[in-house]
Amino acid sequence: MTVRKSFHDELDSLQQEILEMGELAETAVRDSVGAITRGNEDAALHVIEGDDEIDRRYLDIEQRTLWTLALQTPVAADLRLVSAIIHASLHLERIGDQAVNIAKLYLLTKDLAPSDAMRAQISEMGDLVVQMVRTAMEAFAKRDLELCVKLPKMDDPVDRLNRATHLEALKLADDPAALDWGLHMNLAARALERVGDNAVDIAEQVSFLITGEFREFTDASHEVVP
Amino acid sequence: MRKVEVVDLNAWFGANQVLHSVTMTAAQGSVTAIIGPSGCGKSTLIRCLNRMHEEIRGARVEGKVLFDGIDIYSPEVDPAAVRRKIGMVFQRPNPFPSMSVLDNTIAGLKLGDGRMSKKEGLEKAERALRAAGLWDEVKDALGRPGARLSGGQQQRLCIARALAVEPEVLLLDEPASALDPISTLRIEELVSELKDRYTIVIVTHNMQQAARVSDWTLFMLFGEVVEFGPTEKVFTTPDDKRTEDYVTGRFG
Repeated sequence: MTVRKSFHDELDSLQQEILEMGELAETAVRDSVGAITRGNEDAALHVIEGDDEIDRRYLDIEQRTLWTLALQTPVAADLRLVSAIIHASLHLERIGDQAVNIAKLYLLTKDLAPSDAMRAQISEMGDLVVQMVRTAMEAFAKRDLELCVKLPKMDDPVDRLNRATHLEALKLADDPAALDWGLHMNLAARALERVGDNAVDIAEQVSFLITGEFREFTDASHEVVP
Repeated sequence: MRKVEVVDLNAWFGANQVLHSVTMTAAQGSVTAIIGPSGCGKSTLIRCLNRMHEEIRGARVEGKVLFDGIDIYSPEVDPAAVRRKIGMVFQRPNPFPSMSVLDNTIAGLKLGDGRMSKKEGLEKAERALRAAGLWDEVKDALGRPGARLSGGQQQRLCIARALAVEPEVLLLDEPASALDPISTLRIEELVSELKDRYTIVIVTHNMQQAARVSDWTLFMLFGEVVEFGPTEKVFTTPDDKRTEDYVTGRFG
């Protein structure tokens, strides 16, 4: 028997909500990339509309975690869980916003001729980062440290593709309309690269939740020794 | 729905006024916590809610305490009837030491209507002990003296005794302050379970306890209400600077 059942029920409910928010964010990214790769305007509009629900969840989690901290004084693993939920919800909210950015970039360029090579890069990046978000949230649900430490490795090809889209865009320099499209897609690639970083950050939080030790998996200014 | 409504309540010990124009409400099915430093009038206020204050020599009350809209201080109201509807549990567990767990549980019932078959007594005791979360621990030892239970069990026995007379409001005056941390959390969890069926007012000098268990929090200082609001608000964004200073530990 748990002596603080109502408090632990609330923690369970918060965790459930963060996992659902993860699914919403993952779907938003997949659909925004799908708008570009399949030229689907409805999908783009759907992503933009759907972001309100992600924001609503973010605010709800923000409020409830604040109350939990103020009223329930969580300690030990409970405290780390609340901390991880607060951080993860912010990252997922950002991921939702990146999906909106990508959807808007598509809408801005939908009448321009796309480059197949660059579209393939965007598609591949989308698949990779969606898988990263899913893996980070699965690690959260299962408290799986092995999944957490996979995230930085999964991020490497995303970073490479992000740099490659830049070079691919340069190839379009002779045609202003194509270049216009390419520069926008370069921004979309950048947004996807950020989604990958957010997924790594969530995995760092999950790792802290499991081990009690906080460490950054990646650091832009220093090499991180694994 | 307002179960208990306190309107402009003043209370004295002799010439010493200890409550100054207190106004508050306790909604049906909610937990209201009263917090404040020692001597601020918390216990006096809760004791006014079931006419216990007047039991002290020289003590008196002015103002209204409405229970389901009826003023419990009206001349025609019987204080004993009030106390059956508005039960109370005190700081120190006070089971009758020589009475068995069973007899302790139904002591209030026996004092009231008196006659009751053994079977009926057992049924009522089981219901009250289950509600107090104690049944599983004492069901095989109902004949044991109540005083032989642990402190936490004794306090839940006192809650069972209060519940056995089927009150509608439960007043808890620092019910966990004499208990160890786990027994304290058990009492708090019990309060959360009971609030569906009872309106609960709890006095506590433990602010975290107030935060954990209550829906509404009333902060008192020098016999006056400083702030009364939803617990989430009082503990995150209180309106009054004095409340902020108290809950953050900057005075008191």
